[in-house]
Amino acid sequence: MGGKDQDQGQEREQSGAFKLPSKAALKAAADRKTNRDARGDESRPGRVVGLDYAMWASAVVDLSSPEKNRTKIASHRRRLADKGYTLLEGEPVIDSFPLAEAWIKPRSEWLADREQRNAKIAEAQRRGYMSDTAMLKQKIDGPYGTHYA
Amino acid sequence: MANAVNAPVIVQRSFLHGLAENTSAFALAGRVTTGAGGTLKISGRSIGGLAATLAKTASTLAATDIANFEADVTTSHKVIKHTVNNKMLTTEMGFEGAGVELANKVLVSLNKDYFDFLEGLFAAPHPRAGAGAFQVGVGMKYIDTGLAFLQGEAGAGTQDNMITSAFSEVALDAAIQLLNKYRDDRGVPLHLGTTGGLTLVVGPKNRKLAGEVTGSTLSGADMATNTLKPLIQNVVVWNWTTDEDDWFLIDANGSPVGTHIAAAPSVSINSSDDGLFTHFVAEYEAAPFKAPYEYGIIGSDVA
Repeated sequence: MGGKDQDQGQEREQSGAFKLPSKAALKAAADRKTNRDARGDESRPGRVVGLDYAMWASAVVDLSSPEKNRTKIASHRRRLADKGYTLLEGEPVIDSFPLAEAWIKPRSEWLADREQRNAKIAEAQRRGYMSDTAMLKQKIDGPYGTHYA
Repeated sequence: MANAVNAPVIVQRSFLHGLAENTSAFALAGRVTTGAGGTLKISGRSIGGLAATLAKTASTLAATDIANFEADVTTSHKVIKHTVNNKMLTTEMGFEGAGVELANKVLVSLNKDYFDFLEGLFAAPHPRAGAGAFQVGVGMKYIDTGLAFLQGEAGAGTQDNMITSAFSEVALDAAIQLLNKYRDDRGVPLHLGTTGGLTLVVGPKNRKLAGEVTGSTLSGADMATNTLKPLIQNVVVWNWTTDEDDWFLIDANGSPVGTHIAAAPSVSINSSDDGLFTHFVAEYEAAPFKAPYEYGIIGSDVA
């Protein structure tokens, strides 16, 4: 339906004509429904859609209002580069960020860096820059016994 | 002229004035409880899920799982002692100044106790870390990505209370979405922050932007209505020690983190044995705490 109007450019847009999907496209859509639960809300604000988070950790630079935020964007990029992230090339989609870029590093490295931060806090506490509450642990009683966290 | 009789009164009065005039930022950015010193118990429960309909003909109803986690918070006695040569304290102004300064330092200490604790949450073990039911996953931190709910049960999933983006209007909106979508351990959405009452805690580098984003009538990106404005009740600025990019969004109405004060700040002055010096002692007994259930806080950390 409407196939004969396909090559008529502007005229086609104004005619209200359309082209129904092919059988193959309908089959692919049905397969997607079968293979993936589309009923649940899968949105994960701040995450890169399709990135395997078991392997990678990401950080986001918001590129909204680039004219106004030029120096901020440059500063954020510099900070991420300093923290060992690499720009994710291509056109990644970042949930809830209409215009943004993603920087990534291997998750194993991210976990090590997080422990490094823990060490930094311990050192700051030892030197008296941070309160001795910075690494305060509490006794936790629960269904699996007692531990400190 | 101050003398041995009226000096303590002057110091205590100025100390109280000093406390009243300074901002207790920790009270804006978390829950404050008061009570006895020693150990405070903060409990939390995983109770049931959505309510089941009980048929008129039913004669039994299966119990839903209930788990209790309880955290013991031990308060610390904190003291600031200042010794001054009596020659320096011959006027009322000298005593007044000392009282105000001690009040300021006590509040800075209380704030620092809390915000340093907050900064440590990215690396602090989650009280419910583990692979079992009612737990959030092995090795999880209090503020983390991939925190489990309904672990090992039907409907299991994960959620984030951490975002890895520098502060911006869009990043704040994403954090609010995380809070709005947050589920309890039984998988029930809590709709946190949907009616406002949120506190935003940022470092000095983000102070200006935070004020603009939460105070403007129009949204910066598209000049539409700023929907963030009615949700953010307070913006608190704090000098982070280990990463100035950190920022937090806290549901002030039901914050899972806060400060327990067992003894309110007070001040006393005493003369040294030889009568040459005056000891000023300001003290309080308190401890920051985190509840076993992390509902109500979102943090941003780019490790």
